Amino acid sequence: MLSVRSLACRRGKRLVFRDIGFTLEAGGSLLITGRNGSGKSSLLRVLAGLLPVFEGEISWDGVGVTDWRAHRTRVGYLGHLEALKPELTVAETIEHGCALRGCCNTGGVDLLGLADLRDRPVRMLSAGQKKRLALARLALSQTALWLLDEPASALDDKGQAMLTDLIERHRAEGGLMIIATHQPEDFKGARRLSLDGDPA
Amino acid sequence: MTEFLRLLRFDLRLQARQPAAWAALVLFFILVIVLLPFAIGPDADLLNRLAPGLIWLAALLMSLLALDKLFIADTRDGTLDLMLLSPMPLPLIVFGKLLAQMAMIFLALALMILPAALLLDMNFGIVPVLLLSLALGVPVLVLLGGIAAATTVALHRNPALLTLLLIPFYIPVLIFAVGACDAVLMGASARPHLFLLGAMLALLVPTSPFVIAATLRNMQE
Amino acid sequence: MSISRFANPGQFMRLAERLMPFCAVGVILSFAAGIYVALYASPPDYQQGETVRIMYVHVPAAWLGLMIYLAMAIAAGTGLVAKHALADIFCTAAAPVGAILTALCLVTGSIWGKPTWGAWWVWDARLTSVLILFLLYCGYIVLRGSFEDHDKGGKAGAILLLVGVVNIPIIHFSVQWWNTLHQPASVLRMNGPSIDAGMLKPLLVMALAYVFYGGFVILLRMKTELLARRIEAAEMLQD
Repeated sequence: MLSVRSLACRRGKRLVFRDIGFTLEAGGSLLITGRNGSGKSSLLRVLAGLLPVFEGEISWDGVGVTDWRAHRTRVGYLGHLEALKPELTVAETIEHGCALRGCCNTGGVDLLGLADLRDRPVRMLSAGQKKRLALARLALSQTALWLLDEPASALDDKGQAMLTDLIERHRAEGGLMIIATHQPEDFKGARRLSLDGDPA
Repeated sequence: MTEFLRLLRFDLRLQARQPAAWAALVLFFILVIVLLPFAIGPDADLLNRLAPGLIWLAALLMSLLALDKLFIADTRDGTLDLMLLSPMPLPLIVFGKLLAQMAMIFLALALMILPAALLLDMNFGIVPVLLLSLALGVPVLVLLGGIAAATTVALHRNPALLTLLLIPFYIPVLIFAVGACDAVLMGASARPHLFLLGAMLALLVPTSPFVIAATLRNMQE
Repeated sequence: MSISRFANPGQFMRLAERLMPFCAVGVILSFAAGIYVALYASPPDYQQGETVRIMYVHVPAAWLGLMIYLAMAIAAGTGLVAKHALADIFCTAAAPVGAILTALCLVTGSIWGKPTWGAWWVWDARLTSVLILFLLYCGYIVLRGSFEDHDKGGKAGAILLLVGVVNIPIIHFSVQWWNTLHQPASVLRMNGPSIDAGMLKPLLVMALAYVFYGGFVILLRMKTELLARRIEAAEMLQD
């Protein structure tokens, strides 16, 4: 169970958001909505441990996070930048992702309909295929909390369906899901947290 | 250890699949070497005496070119995030990247040393010392360059800044490396110079990956 | 939370208020004494004649240039460990002062060199080391100035200073070695065979004058920087 209390984030001289709090149980899902620039991406990055916590606290099962390395083992993050190397093939990208997490690849290329593309270099993939690849790599990282920043962008209907399927499977396994999105209608059955200051 | 080797394989693979970058290094090195005699004059004796220094200068400038790009691609495509989020120790990941970069530079030098020595009419007796000085000195350049590159990763790419930061640190390396070659040319021992280079390397290897990792974490915005 | 971080600097401000007039008086008095002793009351050099008097401007500038860098490195180290904001403020304030004094040393060295050695510049071990120190200062100033965020910039600058301070003995040693390996045509010594007591005293007085000067200017710059950051912090909380 993840709880966040009075979280604030500062980037440069600007206070991007403040006083953000929520609780997420196992299998739970949270959508972060808000205008451009309201701090959705920054919130995800703070939760991932990429940006420092300016104020507030993040806790797992009631225990505040002090060991960020342990926190990182439980968090998978997919940001705007997909972190794909154009020179690697699909299969190699998955392998590299697993090497970075220190886990083993268990035939993950078959996820999200990428099996046919396993030997294609990333630079020859379409935007939607790249997104699916990044999602597949995240899915294989065996992390409890998934932080997804606009995961549905660039995905067609089929891709969107695969994404929803993936999310549901992760939640069914007890995983936690936090998604920043402009289109909350794409994700059913999730609570919303708006960074605009208006009620969701 | 096996995980480190896995990552190292990927870093090497990435370097190997960017032949354009490697070719640029090779080309740059040989261009510097070709231009220098035009700047200095065709006097064979002069070139012969200056040869180890000129080759080292070309190698240093080539390394600067490579180091300028060290973390740029990873920052731009988000791979740096992946590295920062990894439960694997960041110094280890960084060290793999640095080793791969060194390998690329060594490969370029391996190809170009002999042609450069010929063009500058270098005394072939000093080739072993030159190679040894490069074997010790280039890693020092790359490790120092890694620290500077990590410090400037958040700033817009500015090769002039990187060079400015590194020059005071590269000067002693240049002095010891070329000093080793000149020592052999004058019939003296190159040992003290090479030992000093080795000492710099021994100091940097266990410390720089940690400094670089800490810097990369702090430069997140 | 952010205001409390400036609590210690508040103490510093009060300390600065008390020290600065003292420094100002010190500057005036010691420069007056120093210039008198350097220009009138000390002997000319038996080799160089009157031109040796440039030494009284040149040498203390080198001492201060090095001292300030060392002080910055110590501040950087303590700043990283104790996370004290004042350390970075000191470094940003002191860097241009150190850089200018180092540049002064180089320029006066060059002016001294022309009549003495016939050349505007020689790659003598000490001058070369000071040149490299100047480059270290420039690198720090440009790097630190490129960061808008004071936390990040402070840390980046601190790392550069710490790696740089380890490098200073290496630079000094390597440049000296480099100089002796390639024997220059004439063996030149800047101060003559040994410092005559008549020359040492004005040197020390001038050094003291430089210290007061450096102290005054650095304190002034630190106060200004501190006030500027308070304004920034207040503006940020207003959003």
